[in-house]
Amino acid sequence: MSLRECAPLRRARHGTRRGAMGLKLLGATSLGALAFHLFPDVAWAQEISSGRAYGDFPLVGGRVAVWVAAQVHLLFAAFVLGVPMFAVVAEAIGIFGGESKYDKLAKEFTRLLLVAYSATAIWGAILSFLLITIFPNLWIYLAEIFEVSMWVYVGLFFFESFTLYLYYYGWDRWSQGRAKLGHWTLGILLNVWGTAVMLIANSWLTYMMSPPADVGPDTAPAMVQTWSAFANATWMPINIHRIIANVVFGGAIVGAYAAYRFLLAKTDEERAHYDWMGYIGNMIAIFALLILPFAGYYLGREIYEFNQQMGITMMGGFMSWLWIIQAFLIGVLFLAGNYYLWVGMGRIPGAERFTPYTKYMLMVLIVGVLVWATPHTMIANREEIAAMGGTHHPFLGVLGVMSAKNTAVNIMILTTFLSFLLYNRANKNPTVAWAKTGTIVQGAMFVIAAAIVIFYGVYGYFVSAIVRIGFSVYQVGAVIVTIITVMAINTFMMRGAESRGEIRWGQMPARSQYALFILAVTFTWLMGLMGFARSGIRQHWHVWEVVRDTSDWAATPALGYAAIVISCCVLIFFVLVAFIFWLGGLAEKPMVPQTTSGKSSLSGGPELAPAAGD
Amino acid sequence: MSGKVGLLASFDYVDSAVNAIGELRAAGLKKITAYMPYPEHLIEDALGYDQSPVRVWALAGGLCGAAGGFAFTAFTSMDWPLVTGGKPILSIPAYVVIAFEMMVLFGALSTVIGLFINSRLPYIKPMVVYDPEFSAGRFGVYVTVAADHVDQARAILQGQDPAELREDPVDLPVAPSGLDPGGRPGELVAAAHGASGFDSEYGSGEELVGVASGESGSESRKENRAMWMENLKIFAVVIGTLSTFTLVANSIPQVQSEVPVELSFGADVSPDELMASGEILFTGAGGCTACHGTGTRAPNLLTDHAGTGLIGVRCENRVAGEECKAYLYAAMVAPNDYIVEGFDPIMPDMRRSLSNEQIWAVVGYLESLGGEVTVTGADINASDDGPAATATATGAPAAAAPASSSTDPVEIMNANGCIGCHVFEGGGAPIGPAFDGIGARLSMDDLRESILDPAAAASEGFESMQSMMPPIFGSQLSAAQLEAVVQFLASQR
Repeated sequence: MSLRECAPLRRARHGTRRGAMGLKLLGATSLGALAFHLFPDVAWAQEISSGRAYGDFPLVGGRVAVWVAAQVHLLFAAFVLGVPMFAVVAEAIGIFGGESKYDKLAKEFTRLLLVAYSATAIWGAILSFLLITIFPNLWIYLAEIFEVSMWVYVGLFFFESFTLYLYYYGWDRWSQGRAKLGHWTLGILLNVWGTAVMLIANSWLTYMMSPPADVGPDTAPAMVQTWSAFANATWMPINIHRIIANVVFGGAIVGAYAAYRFLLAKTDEERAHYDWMGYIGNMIAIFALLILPFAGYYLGREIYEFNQQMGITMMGGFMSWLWIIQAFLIGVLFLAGNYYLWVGMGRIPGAERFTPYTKYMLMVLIVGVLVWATPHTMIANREEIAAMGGTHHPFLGVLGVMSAKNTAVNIMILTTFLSFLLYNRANKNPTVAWAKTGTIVQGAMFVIAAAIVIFYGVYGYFVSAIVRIGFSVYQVGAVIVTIITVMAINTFMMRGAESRGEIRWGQMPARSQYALFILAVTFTWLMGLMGFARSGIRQHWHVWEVVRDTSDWAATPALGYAAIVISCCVLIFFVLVAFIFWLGGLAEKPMVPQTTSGKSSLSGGPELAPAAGD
Repeated sequence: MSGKVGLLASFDYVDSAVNAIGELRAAGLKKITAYMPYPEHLIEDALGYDQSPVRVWALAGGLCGAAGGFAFTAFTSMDWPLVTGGKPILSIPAYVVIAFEMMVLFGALSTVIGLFINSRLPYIKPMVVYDPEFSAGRFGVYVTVAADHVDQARAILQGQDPAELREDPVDLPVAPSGLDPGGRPGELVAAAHGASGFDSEYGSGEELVGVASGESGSESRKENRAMWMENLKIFAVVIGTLSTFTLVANSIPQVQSEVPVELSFGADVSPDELMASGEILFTGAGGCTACHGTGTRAPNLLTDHAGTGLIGVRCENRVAGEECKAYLYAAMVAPNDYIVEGFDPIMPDMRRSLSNEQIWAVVGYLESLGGEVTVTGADINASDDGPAATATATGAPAAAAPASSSTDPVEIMNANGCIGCHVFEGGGAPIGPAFDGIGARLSMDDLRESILDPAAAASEGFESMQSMMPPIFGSQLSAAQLEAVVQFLASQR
């Protein structure tokens, strides 16, 4: 090629070189401009500031958005924390008791858990992002104090996730011998990680309620002692209350799942299995519910100890009516739980002899609910006080004090325990020589416990408040001692008992399953209500008497508004749960029915063959 | 040809038709359409029908109507609250009438809709193999079978001694004897008006009850419908429960918490202004009525207490030589010094939650209850110890509570948390420079500057911690306290 021919190329190359330079310059300038816009602080070394105290959320507002996210996250979290507790127990019964159907039940519980776990994490992420964007300054404040615990929190999720996957997917692989024990240990470990996660999260929200006394409005976050912020006054009471409540809630949701599957069952074997599963779920929920009020009372006492004003606001101030709603809900729980047991006795041969007593137990429960739901302290202005003739209603005021309410709830607990005892003994004839004496002793314990509860309930009206509060310990103690002792006597008395007939699992009317749904919905709503109570007693403080809430949503809303938000949260939760359980059922193979085994009714439901690929 | 054959048997007696249907279903031949001159439950039972689902439509419609009625009335009342005769805004008994009417209306409408849907009306497709004899008193059984089952089906039908038995392939455009092919298999169809004019005692049999039966596709449709009906019931239970709780919660007195409103009084603030602001705080954001409204946890401040008169009267006599407003103010900021006999020391220091102006407003209000308001702007300014617990737009921690008046330097340092960041005599945290030997490192002027303006200079090695020293001590400490601390630190060599 001659130079002449190359000339255009040379010109082009020259042009290209210039063009290349120009391009490079243009590129550098563009990158610089981009950097300036993307990273103005880097480019200009300016100080970053958020510039706003609060964000907002369209339609519902920032407070409701965070409220819904927190509540739905908590509902899922309660489920994924509660279920492993009784899954491990069921698996233990399967291993050490030799009853394989409990092992299958535990696996079925865990399958529900697996699909709900992701939802819990998703809602946790939604909550975190909403908090960061809507309450940025509060987030910065809390993050500075709890940063280490937040790192540990996310780290624990790794352990929990992997443990859960190993626990579920290794179920069939490690089903024998030592491997099975190892598998069971994974279940225990799952509970350890889950409890640790809950304990950490509880510290953040309890710090907001009850910060250490030496933390004031002028205390910089860096000066807050991490451990004293972590283990604050209400931390351990909330931990205890939530551990028990998780078991209650998990049992209720499992019961609702079983009820759903029962209603749609196509074969008698399937119905029998889910009837049994529903009974187990209900029993777990009701038994744990019996001790939950004591944990709640402990929490209330600690709130009072921490700050009398907060405690009094909670119980006697603008939130006092909330406890009337709670009483109504717990009344529904007790009634629905007992109703399920009473209807269930229809499928137990020999239970007919106890049927006449159910109406009396129903009356006791109704009276108890009415007493518990009676208000006492009503916020009255001077005109209303003059109209009432005093600060309290002349009649209702008598029933509204804690003396009456403690009495009512303890009697209701005794009645529910009695229902369970009659259910348990319905189809059995004890054969031990001391059966009659044992039964008399059991009956006497019920009578004595009721007498103690009522005595201290009445006596409480004649002593000062500080003395009256102490009487609750005697009432509670009498009930707990009775439950433990009567159960112990029953266990020994029923050894070798003659069976009057097998429980006819599956032969339950549909209305009993709707009772399980009502239980599940009520437990869920109650959790929402208690969340509102715990959060609302802070009133216009993000952190009580430390960080004031200056947003547009600082005022704690009234109960009616809160009820609407709670109902929405519950509805969202159940829609998602229904979808999640349906997802879980997609991979499920239908159960292969087998004939019912000859096991006694003590052991519960029928045998079912394992389904391939379950 | 589809390979399917249709057999139509006419029976004079219902028993024959029922038996024929039963035997056909038992043999697995479930694609059956039955005809009858009047609704006959025996034939429905033979075809395996369940209870009518129309009742569920009625229930759902009724419940929705009732709920809608209550919701409509409740929300309109809440939107436009009118107090009538002292009754509550939400007067449930009055709403029962409207809810009842809506329940009836929606229940009726949904029943009709459910009836139409479950009857699959309007019935657009022509009826399959209809014979006018079926409205004249005959019962018809039409079964569609595969070719290899024709003999079996024929034998079953003949075994019941039909008046007539015809074979009718389903894909013929026009069936013989005026019968029309097509239509949906497995349907129970009561005859429409027949040409014969037969009038049975059951009437002309106008109604149509179209429900699929027997055949596998129909079974699965039936199962699906049962499943969705069950889902609907469960959903209704859930919604009903949620609605009940929401309604109960909205039926009780609605009280929301109040947020303390910032107050700013001039030097010439009037008693009326103080009273009005104080009453709002006392009955609302101050939270005073939780204890002082009942007389059980704390002395009742709204009425006479133990015969000693209203608070505005008895406050003069509580502490000898102390006037009412001074006593009331002190009772709010140092409550443990003034506990009334018979009550527990549970009153908090109100400076943690109320500002100076707010406290004085409450004092003024309390004075007004039985007495005279003597609080003035001068009182408010004189007791203003610095930044009060005011709300801040950034949501940052509110300002400190006022410090004590002690001039003991160690007491001051402990009270203000100095040892939380500075090591001193074996205690404290090494976040800032140690106090041990500080007098040798810094002059008194440097010490004073470090306390009053910590951003001015940082000690060597603590530059990164400089921003953590709060700049509030200039306003939190009195001059005497500051000097005491500076002198003390300067002496640490």
